[in-house]
Amino acid sequence: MNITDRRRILGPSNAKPLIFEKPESSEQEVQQPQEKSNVENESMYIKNGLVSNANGSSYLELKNGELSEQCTILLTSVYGPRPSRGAFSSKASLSVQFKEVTIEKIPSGELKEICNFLSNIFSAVINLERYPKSGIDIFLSLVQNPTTSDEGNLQPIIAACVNGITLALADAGIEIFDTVSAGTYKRNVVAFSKNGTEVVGLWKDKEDDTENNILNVIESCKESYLKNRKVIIEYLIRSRDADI
Amino acid sequence: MTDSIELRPISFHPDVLARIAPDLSMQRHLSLGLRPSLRSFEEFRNVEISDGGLSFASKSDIDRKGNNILGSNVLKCGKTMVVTSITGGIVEENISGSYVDDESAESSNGADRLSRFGQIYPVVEVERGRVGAPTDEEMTLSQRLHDCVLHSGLIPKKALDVAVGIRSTDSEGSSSILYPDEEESALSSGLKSRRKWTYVLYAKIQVFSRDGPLFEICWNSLIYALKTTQLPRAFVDERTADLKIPVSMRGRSATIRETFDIICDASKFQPLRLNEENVAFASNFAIIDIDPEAELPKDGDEMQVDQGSSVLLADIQGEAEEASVFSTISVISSESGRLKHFKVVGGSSNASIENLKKSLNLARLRASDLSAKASNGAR
Repeated sequence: MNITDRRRILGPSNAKPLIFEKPESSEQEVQQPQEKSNVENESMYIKNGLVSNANGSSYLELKNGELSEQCTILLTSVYGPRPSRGAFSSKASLSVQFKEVTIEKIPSGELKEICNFLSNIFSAVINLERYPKSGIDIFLSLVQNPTTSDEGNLQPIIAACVNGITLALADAGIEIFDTVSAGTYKRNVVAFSKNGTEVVGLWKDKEDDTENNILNVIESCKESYLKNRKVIIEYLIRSRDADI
Repeated sequence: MTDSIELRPISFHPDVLARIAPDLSMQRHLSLGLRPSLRSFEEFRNVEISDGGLSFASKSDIDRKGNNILGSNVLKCGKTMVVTSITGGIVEENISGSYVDDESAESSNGADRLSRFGQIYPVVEVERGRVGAPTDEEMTLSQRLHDCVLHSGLIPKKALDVAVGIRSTDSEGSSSILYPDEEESALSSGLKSRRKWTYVLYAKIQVFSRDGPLFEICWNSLIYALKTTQLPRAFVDERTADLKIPVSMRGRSATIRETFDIICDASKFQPLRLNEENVAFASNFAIIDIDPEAELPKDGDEMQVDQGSSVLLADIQGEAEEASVFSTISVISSESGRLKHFKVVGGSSNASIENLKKSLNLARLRASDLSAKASNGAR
């Protein structure tokens, strides 16, 4: 890249990033308990409406049970429906942007894939016909991400994104067909709607040991979907009651 | 058509009025002795800070792998939320053959003053629901933060020097790292004198819920983040320390170039030493003239129209205030009243000496309040 970015202050060009010494042993130990506790005691903290200049926003803090220091923090904001310029469209256009606010670990190609996956899900879920000539923009900011880069397991993050977007859309008052939520099992994420009878999105990672058992995977994901959805709906009802 | 046209006053909800006629909304509030944010004139917003546990050195972060954040801060001021993370890099300094020591080379004139201070390279991003190139505001904010850090003399250049240690592995395979400042005698290789490295600090500042001017909030968050910054110890491997690579250019000259892989120690770190007396915090003020015509009609006939009276407002917030205020003061002051930055935009109102004095005093009080927070918030 020869073109320098004149819009940002980039610092000296010959600077090298800090390279940290590889820890030798701890790698294996950390991974194992994480996989196990994933399903059993996961806790979710939800707060809506933190970003005041967005139409709707949600804040999610996911903790993996007793390993309470490792938490995923995701801030979702929804802007829209706002008028879009240009040619007439009978449906709203949807865009999803994903950004890591602090540590940048996820390669940009995968970021794009996540965005595509999520916008596919929510194109099916948002009642886009209700909002002609408008655009709905969803911004995801991952503030903290406990998983490490070379593992590449994005599934807890993707599941959090699905839940976060649903909450933010609800906060923005944008019409959705159902409270969509996602469940994870091993390296798969399945997003469901209609009480688990409809699958709206399926993410399967490459290094997956559950090759052919797709029905099994869906059943297992459904369990955690139902759990997540219950938490979301409970939160929404509670916050509505608090408003009244 | 003899219908008389009836004129009726229109009334708006306060939020609507603030959007369509910010100056009127502002004046109406001021005449009640309040501001649109319902604060009093010289009242600041409360600031909550935490280090967010984001940095690699923070105790709560079990998983240090892949974490290259050296210092962090999460600041909440009203609704506005700022996440600052400081990352680093290492740059090799060019040392000419006739290299003289720092102390003798230092001269006292103004231009050279800056060469003694370190810089930081900030990138500010304000979330406003758009994608694309940085906005003007983000660019000016980044540049202003960069300039202010450099000119305030906050970071001494020496604090960014890397004391490169050497890792030696003995015959049993266990390795130990020697640092030049820990054991003076052990490090006798010529490495230290021939090569010099310094840390480069980058700051990534993410702002959510923008609600008024941001420079002061970003600055304060940056200062808090720098206070938590820990620099990792760095070393080179013994085997690579004497590495020489001969490079021959068309058989003519054989230059020898050494390359070092500097590795950082994830478990050993030391705090970034700031010039404590130069640690300062920012606050902003607005001067606004009270328009007697916009006042709500008072009962009684006390017509005390004090023409041209202006008030000083601390900590600008909200759409109505930002849109209707043209005279602003921005101060970066330390606890003891050392001024690091002072910016006045005259605008339409009269920035009188009294108002300037008052703002400086308030800025000092605010700075001592904020710096007390930093020491309380320390882990």
